[in-house]
Amino acid sequence: MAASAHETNIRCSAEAAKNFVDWYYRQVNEAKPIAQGYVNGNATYDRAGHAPADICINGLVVATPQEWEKLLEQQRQCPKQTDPNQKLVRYDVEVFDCHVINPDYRFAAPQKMLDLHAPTDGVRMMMMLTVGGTVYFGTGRNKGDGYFAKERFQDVFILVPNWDVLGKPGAKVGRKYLVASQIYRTF
Amino acid sequence: LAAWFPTPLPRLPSNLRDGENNIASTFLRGFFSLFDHDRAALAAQFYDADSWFSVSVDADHNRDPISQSYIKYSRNIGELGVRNPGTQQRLFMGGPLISELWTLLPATRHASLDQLDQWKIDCHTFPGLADPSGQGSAIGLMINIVSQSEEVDVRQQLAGIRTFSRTFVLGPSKPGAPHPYRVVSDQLTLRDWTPQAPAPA
Repeated sequence: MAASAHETNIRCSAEAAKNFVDWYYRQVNEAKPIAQGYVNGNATYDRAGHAPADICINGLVVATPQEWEKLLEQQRQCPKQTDPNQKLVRYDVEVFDCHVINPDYRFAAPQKMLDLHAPTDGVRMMMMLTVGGTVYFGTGRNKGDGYFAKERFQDVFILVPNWDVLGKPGAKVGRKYLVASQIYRTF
Repeated sequence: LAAWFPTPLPRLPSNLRDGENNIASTFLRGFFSLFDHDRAALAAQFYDADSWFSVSVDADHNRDPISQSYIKYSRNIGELGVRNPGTQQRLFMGGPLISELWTLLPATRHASLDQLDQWKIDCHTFPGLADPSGQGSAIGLMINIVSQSEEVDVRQQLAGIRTFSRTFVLGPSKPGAPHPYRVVSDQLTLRDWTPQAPAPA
């Protein structure tokens, strides 16, 4: 029952959430880098003096997305295991939801983006995304594979516009929204 | 053992970085006590016309009977799909509407925040919220909670222990509000559930 003025923002934020979730956990599951999904190292945000992303992993503050990648790498280590069906750490997403928390996000925005996109356009959105699922340890690639251990996870992200990508209509590469904050918990 | 199988990351205690006014601790203490006893009062205090709330059910794990009380409101975008009308309709805006929805959800009893082992609370401030006065930008506080509560569905005569996570974004209030900060966003996610003996009538 959201007011109709918010319809575009709600639809666009749901789309952005889905794109981000699909990309992020695929990268994690394929042991690929995720650092390009964060504000750190983004030239436009760096130039404007944005703080590094605030990342808190099970209560531990990590300074950079690269350090988080290192923890994920550490988590995957099992040199003695030879069976490929018992080597992986797999994140299965089971639930996610996303709200726009500032529809008029302006930080580091090029003037062109402010002129072009009203706060009702579903572009200049700051969003809060929550993701829940299960992590399987010592498992294969697919749902239903055996595993050595499992735990639940909860990830929370604050996402902000990537002006470099959103400003180029039709841009096919790069993340449209970047992580400015992350809280990760397993239980 | 670690060499044979991948290993989970260590779990540290709550990480509260909510600034010198300890807003998170103060807010949560009031929040869960009121959520258990007087949800309408809670909505009136911290939720204004622009606050958002949604609840989502982890569909893979919560085929439990009590989830039926939540499932018609569940905004799990992954399950509904981006273009499902439910993704619009199940996002609740404004104190009165949120309060009305809360009356339809099962009753809860949360552990005291003094029982530290019952709560994992992580929070930090972040820049970039809109200032409600319309001038410039404001600092927000993101809080994530993982905990358990007793959950009772009176109509179904069902009681159980629910693991849940709840995430808040707090920001400065509009002029005239009862507190200096307001709930910008509140997302409740329902996870595992185990049944209990029915509560005495």
